Amino acid sequence: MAAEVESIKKSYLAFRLDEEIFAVGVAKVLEILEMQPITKVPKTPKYMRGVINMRGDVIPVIDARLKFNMSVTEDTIRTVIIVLELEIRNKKVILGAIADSVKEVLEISDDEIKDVPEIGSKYNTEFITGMVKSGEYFIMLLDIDKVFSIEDIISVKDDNENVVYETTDDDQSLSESES
Amino acid sequence: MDEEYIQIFIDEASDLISSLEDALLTLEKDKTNPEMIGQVFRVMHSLKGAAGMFGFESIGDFTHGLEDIYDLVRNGKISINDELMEITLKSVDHLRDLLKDPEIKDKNIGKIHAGLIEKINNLKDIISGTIDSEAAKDINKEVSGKSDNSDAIDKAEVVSYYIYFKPSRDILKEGVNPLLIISNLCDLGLSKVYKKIKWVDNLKSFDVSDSFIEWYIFLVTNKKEVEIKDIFLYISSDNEVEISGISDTNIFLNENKVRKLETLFENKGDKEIIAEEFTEILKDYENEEESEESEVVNEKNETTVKKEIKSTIKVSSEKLDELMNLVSELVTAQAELGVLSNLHNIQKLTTVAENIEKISRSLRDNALNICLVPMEEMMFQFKRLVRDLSNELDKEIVFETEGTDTELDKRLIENLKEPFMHIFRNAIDHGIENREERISKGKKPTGTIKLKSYYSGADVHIQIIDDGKGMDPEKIREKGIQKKLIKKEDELSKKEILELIFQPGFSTAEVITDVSGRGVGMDVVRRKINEVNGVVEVESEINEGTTITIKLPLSLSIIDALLVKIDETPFLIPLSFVDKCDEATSDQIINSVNNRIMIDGELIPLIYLRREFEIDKNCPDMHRLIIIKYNDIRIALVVDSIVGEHQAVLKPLGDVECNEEIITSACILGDGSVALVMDTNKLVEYYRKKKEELVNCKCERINK
Amino acid sequence: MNRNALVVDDFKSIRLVVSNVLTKEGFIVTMAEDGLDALRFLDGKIKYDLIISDVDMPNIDGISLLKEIRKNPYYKDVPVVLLTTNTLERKQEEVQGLKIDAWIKKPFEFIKFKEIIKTLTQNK
Repeated sequence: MAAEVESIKKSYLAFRLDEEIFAVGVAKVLEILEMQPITKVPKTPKYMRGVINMRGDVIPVIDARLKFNMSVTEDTIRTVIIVLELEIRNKKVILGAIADSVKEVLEISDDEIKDVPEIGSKYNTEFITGMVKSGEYFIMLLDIDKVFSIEDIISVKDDNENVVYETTDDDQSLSESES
Repeated sequence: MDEEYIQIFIDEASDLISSLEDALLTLEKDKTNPEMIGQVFRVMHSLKGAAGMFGFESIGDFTHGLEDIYDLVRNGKISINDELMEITLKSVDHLRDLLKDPEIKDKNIGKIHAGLIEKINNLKDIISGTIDSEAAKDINKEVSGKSDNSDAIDKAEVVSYYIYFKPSRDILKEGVNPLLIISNLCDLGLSKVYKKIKWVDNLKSFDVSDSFIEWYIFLVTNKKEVEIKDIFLYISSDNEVEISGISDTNIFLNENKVRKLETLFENKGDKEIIAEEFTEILKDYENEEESEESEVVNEKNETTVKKEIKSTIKVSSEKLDELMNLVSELVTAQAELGVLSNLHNIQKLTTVAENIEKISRSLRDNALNICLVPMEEMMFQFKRLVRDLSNELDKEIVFETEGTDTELDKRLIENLKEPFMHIFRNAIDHGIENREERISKGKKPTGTIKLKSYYSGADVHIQIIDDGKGMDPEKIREKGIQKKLIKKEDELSKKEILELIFQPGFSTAEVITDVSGRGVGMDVVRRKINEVNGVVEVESEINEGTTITIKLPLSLSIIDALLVKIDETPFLIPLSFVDKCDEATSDQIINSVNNRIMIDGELIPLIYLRREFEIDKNCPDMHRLIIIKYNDIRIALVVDSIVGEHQAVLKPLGDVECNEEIITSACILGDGSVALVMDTNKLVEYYRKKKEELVNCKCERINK
Repeated sequence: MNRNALVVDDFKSIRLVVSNVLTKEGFIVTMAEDGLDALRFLDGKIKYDLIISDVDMPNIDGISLLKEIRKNPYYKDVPVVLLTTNTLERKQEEVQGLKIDAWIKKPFEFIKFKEIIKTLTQNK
């Protein structure tokens, strides 16, 4: 009986991006892959790193750092691809997100989750559902469906014309910095 | 009985009914086409037989009357008229209903059933009436001469028969009209008929209803002996019938023999004498013809051999899906094996790997082929629709098709029926004007709807083109405003306005008719086509007509492609578009004038993919050129290197946003990496558009 | 010992149903879709204990097929059952002189069909 009084704990996967730690519900995570060669697809937005082979299926991979407006870094041995199954505009979408490293799987109960302060948050509060303190860190819980449905990445084909692509000049500077 | 067999029967019967419909539509244009008449009869006949076996008695009963009528048509006793055509076509629809509801539980179907049966019986009564009266006119008249199908006979290979027919004395009492039999025989081809009457010895016992006639018939026909025998099917065995093939040629061509035969029959002898002399004449005839005949026989043998034995089986689409998946997996595994064998360079392994590649390639081709059916297979439905609707709406419309041999995945075709039907309805109902309107506009009085399909890159394009009144952008715009789809102040291009017709709840019909404009609209069409990864577009000019273009993926999940590399990225170019390969230095490319390069003495445009794809790293000194065909134009694609040919199992690219959709799919290579499949057509179109923009830009600058 | 049967009908469903019955009776069934197709299987390589054929078929019909069978030294004594839609009696004269072991008019009941098959093949 006592167990019922306690609020139910949910599992979250915590991962690191730059100096921040984010977490997503494990229900959304299909798999965690080691970094592997990614085939760059021409004429895609630059946060699109390309496509990979996930056991016979081709899935797109995005750079989560760029998604959160962080700077590009070199991949390390700890860099991972988190394969997520999202629901965007009522459509199931599978994609990989590159994170700097996976930290751990956390059990978090709802009452541990604190609201995000409206002011002073670096990130769009729309896709952060709350924060949890874990040791010295604050972990930001992501509404991952929203992260990828806002503005870009997955845009419905009809909206094609509205998607703004990088100009050639920018891309050149990007590739210069990469090389 | 097993459900399974009943299902097979239903599938089979549906196919038969469809072939029946198709034959009828051909017949409608060419009402005497003997092949089609035969086809109609045969379908009715076999349906009747088989339906009863599977508990579809209603179908058996129903086809019975029609079978009888078409039997008469087949034997040339009656010809097809509009009424019969209409009834038969309605019957086809009804047969389909009966297949779904054999016990006629649906009252509506019951009503139709009774109505059609009544109509068929009426028709039968009328027909048998006319035949009887016609036959009556012929009494005592020597039946001879040419029948209507003599033309056909001249062309086809023919056989001459001698038929002796002596009806029994009681034949008339049995209700059989021997003249009908003679007339049926004559209808099979060219004939000469001689009659003899054996007078009774005792006039006192003479009964007017006795028969004393015997006939000698020479028949030249392309029909089989069986068909001649069929004519005598309905008389009892008391009648004497002898049929013998006498020559493999047309005996009437030899006038000399004909005259001899004629004199022979003018002399009144009895059967035995005639037979004797007759054999004499024939012998002569044969000797004369011997040399020619041998030739004829040879030809005949050849045609018999040519007759193909084609058997088909039906397979459920799930099984096909499974097969395709397995083949795809096999091809991927084979690619892995190829990589392994290259890595280890063991002679035996290489041989095995190459062998397996060969096998998997042809297995793949075969499996793909199984899934493909030509567009032709769905045409009969459209023919029917155009015919029915144009009759109903009193419009004169010609339905033309082009490229219906274009093959599509069967599953795609299944999904397309409904949207196509809708587009056709729209074209007939709203597109094509009625005769008067067309004349007043100075157009051809007869409207045309054309279905055109062709391959374009990895796509199949299907266009439905009508030459009707077209769509008025102003009207659409107004309606859009009225339906609150757009705002009054919105400035839209014509293309954007036309796009409105695909919006839910939009219908261009001014008057809602029975035919279209009811609930479902072009939005459903678009949704259905999008579901199969297709695209639908509309173009329209007022008074010139409307063209709906549907672009579908071939759905070929595996293609042959050329594997190339630009920097580290592997790309696949469908081999079907590759004309040849060449090479050029970096300088030649970069300093090319106007982006053109000389290949085989021809200056052809080049697309420098490094530039287009914004890849700058590791630029090699030598470039490879892949010359592709774009419609009739040749274009050179510049890549870094060519790896080789590859069987590409196409995988969707996932939800990757790619500009202009140049890269439409991906493929997993033997080493597990992902290669990108280029849609060359899209690439060229994109490039062209970009060029135009560039030119426009320059013009603006100059103007400034 | 296994017995062989040849089933000829242009209707696949009928072919299958008939074959199914025969298989249950212990026959190994070869199927052909018309007379011409059937001739391919009458090449002397297989000995048949029973041939069942539809009458109205494209290419070569059942009666012509029967004639071929009776002409063929290998098969002239094989019991032949003809399936026919109508004109059962009327065609009889056409096949005069040809040995037909049974006529069955479609639609038929399988119980009767089995009886006929049994009597035919047990006589041998």
